[in-house]
Amino acid sequence: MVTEQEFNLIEKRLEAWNEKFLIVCMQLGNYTKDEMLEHVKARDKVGKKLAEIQLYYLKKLKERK
Amino acid sequence: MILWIILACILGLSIFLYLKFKKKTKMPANSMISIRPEYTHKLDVATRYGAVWQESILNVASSVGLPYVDLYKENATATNFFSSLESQDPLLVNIFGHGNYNLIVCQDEELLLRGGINTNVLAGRVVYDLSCQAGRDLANHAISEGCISFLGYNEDFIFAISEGSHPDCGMDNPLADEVAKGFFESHNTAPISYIQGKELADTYYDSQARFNYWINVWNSIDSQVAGFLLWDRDHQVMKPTVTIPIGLKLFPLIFAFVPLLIIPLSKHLKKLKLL
Repeated sequence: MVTEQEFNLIEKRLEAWNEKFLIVCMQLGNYTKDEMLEHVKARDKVGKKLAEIQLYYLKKLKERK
Repeated sequence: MILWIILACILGLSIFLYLKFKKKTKMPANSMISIRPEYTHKLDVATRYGAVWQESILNVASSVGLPYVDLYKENATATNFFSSLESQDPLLVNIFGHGNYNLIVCQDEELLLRGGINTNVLAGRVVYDLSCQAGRDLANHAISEGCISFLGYNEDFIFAISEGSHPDCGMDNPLADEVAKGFFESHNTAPISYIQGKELADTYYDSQARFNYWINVWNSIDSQVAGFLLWDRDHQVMKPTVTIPIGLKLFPLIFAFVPLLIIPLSKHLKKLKLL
């Protein structure tokens, strides 16, 4: 379950995403920076998945410190 | 004297059982089947990239003289897969394709494997699979049906690519994409290590180490890409766990201490006899 605060954090992170990179999810499709942001803002299935992955990374980073 | 003979027998039996149950995981002189769909009915950057990056596994197989069947693009059909399994009976099965928790599809989304329905064809084989999610339920079915080992991903496999001029938005040559490299190279390390003769468990650890290398590289370039690599690393699974179970590891050790238990016990028994 991704909270509203966490979604906002992920939006901020994705705004810094390199525009020349795309993300390919073998299950869901491929996405540009703008498309990723759209999905996260819409809080839909893809947006939730992207948020989940980014939060997982941040959690791991926090655990390491 | 009889006691020592019994102890020697027990020790011999324990060593025999240890060696019997310790899995033989070295690559025998056998063959490999590789299936790598690349969709033609629609633009699909995932299968185009994935299929091409699988070539490095085939190159290593060629270099060590491992015979293999390569089912690529329009040849990556279920019919070809099953007929090759039957005719070649390969030990190593290398799969690439879209999947979900309980199925894997091949060329143009044709059903290839569904857990519990036809995963019994993987019995007695070593499987390396690059698909989303199939490392969960499908792998469990395969293992319960006798598959020796299944390396896959229990959640979505996600990768980053560089924007290019290909109609699917990727680069024309996926092998030249330095962003995608870390993802595919990390996965490919597992089957490559196996082909090169590593133990099953080590192929998993080699792949994990390669993920770690690329995570470190990307942490200093773009941590968001590192985030996706970390996701893939942590959702890579190898089933069953190939390390020797602790009980089996301790088996000979337990018997080494048997005399310490039996000698006081035998003294006690002698006392009982005297009474």
